[in-house]
Amino acid sequence: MSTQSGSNERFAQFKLVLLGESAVGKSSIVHRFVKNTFDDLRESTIGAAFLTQQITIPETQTTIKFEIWDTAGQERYKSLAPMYYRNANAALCVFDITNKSSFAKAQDWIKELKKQAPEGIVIAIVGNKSDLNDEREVEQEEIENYIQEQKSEGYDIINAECSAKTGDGVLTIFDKIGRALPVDEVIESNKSRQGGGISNRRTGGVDLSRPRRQQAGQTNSCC
Amino acid sequence: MNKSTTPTKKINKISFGEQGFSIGDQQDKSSSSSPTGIVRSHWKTLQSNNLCKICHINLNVKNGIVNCRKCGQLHCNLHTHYEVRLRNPQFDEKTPQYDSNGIWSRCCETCYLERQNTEVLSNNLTEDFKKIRLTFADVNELKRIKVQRNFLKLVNEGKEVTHWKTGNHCSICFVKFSLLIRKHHCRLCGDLVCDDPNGYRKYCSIYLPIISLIDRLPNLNYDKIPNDTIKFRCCINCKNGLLFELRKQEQPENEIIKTYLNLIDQRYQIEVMLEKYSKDEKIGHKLMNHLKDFEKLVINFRNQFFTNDLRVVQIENEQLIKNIYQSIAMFLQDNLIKYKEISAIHVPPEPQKEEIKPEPSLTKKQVRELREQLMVLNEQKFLIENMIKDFTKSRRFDELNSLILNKQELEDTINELENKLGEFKFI
Repeated sequence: MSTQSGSNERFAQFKLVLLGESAVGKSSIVHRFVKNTFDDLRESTIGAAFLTQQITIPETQTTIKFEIWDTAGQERYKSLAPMYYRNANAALCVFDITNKSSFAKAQDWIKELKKQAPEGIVIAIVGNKSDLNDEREVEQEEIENYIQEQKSEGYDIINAECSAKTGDGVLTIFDKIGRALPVDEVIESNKSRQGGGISNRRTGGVDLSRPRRQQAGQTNSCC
Repeated sequence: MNKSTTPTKKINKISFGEQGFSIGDQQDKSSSSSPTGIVRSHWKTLQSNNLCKICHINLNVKNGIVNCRKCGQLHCNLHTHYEVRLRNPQFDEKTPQYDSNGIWSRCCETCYLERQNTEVLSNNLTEDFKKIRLTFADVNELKRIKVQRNFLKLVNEGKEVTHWKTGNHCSICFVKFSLLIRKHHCRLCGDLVCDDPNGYRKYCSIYLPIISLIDRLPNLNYDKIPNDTIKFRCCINCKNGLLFELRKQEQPENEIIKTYLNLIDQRYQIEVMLEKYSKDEKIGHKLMNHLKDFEKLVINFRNQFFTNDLRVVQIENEQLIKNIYQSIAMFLQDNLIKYKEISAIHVPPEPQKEEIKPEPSLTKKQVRELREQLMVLNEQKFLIENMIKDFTKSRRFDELNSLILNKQELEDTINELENKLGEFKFI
């Protein structure tokens, strides 16, 4: 779990939430991303699941850790979603490219996010099940138009397609999001808050990677 | 009990048959019925490497090879430590059936547990208890009345009202009278009592001005009030008897009992009404009102004695409160469907009532939605709590923080919702 092994490596943590109609493959995308597995017969999510995964952006030598809240798509759990997107840094609105209504639903989610979510949230619209291209109901053009429309309104929405089944494009999505996130700002604010970039995220345990000098300085009250 | 019919001595017989050998108290399978009288035709025979149906242990001489008398399956000794009452199959039944008058027979755990769903033996002693209690209560009541009458006589006529009893012992503490411990008599019942106002036996009798008792019992038919210098001796039993009614009034009535009595009263009303309702549908509205009152009482009860997370407020009465709550819950569950039917039929008068109410409450649909949300949130809280446990175990403290924050958030939202729902939160 060491996150600051290199002195020049930077670390940032972000909260990401998945939204979308039920059975579009939210959980499958997350599991592909986190565990690189795919389950044909995944059961529908109850409430909201919590997973974490980190990625590294080589150019800037940044490690980004995603805290992923995978919400249930079923109508019953609709009231849970606001709790998770309320303080999220990124939102993935997933739809099924073989299902037109799920695309509409994803648009609804984006509309809700624009209203309710915090300023500066990174929104991505993701078409899942790209391996079923033959049964496609939502055309690329349609999505493109929607993106342009949003852009004219001032919202930059990331557009991507993936297949959780084959794994195509899943990593790309998170990479895109990672690059769109305000990494520098977060790192800066962390630095200024904690002085020297020492993380106080942890609630317990000893940070072994912490420089010795500082550790001694902090424990001057003992012995 | 027909227990004597089962063989008292276990016959460990090894028999070699076509299907191998069998050991235990099973006898020749060719006979269709055993000495116990329950048929054995359905018994499974022993094959090579048999397993116990429950624990899947290998069946052998050590573990035991026992047929369940009910289902006929083979089990180990451990899982046939049970007995049920069975009767022989009749007509086209294949296996013996449970029968409360049947023969006690050995059976497997599965059959034993199944039986408990089909056969219930219970003995209700409430009536007997009530009868016994009533006789005692009557005797005590009579005694009290007698003492009261004697007291009245004493006040009105101012002379002896009872015969003084003879003896050598105090009737209350049984101390032997002597030169130092003098005999005294209670003027109301005539019993012998000792007097020791400052010492160890001070509770046996009291010597008090008659006026002080009159003051406390103003409702009796006194002819005249004697002057306040007259004192008289009274044993502790008579004093308690005289002041019994007074005590009962003085005692601050227990809140729990009071609420419970209210509930019982309302419940009785509902039960009576329900019976009538089956014949006469006109009283539906009345019944609905009673039901509503009952619901209110239950909610009050809950709010009064339970905290938000369903803990009992008064620890000393925890058992009592829990039992009361359980009995109410059972009553509600037993009759819930009926109530739903009734309330579904008698919806129309309800809106009118709600209009009269000073503050407009939530509509039914809103309540349902909010309740659903509350349920979802509670579910999620439970999930998160489990996650927190797991993460703590695997020492993933980084993630724990977000989880704990989320739990906090969930709790806040739950509280908010509960406030919103107010009295509707309890279904």
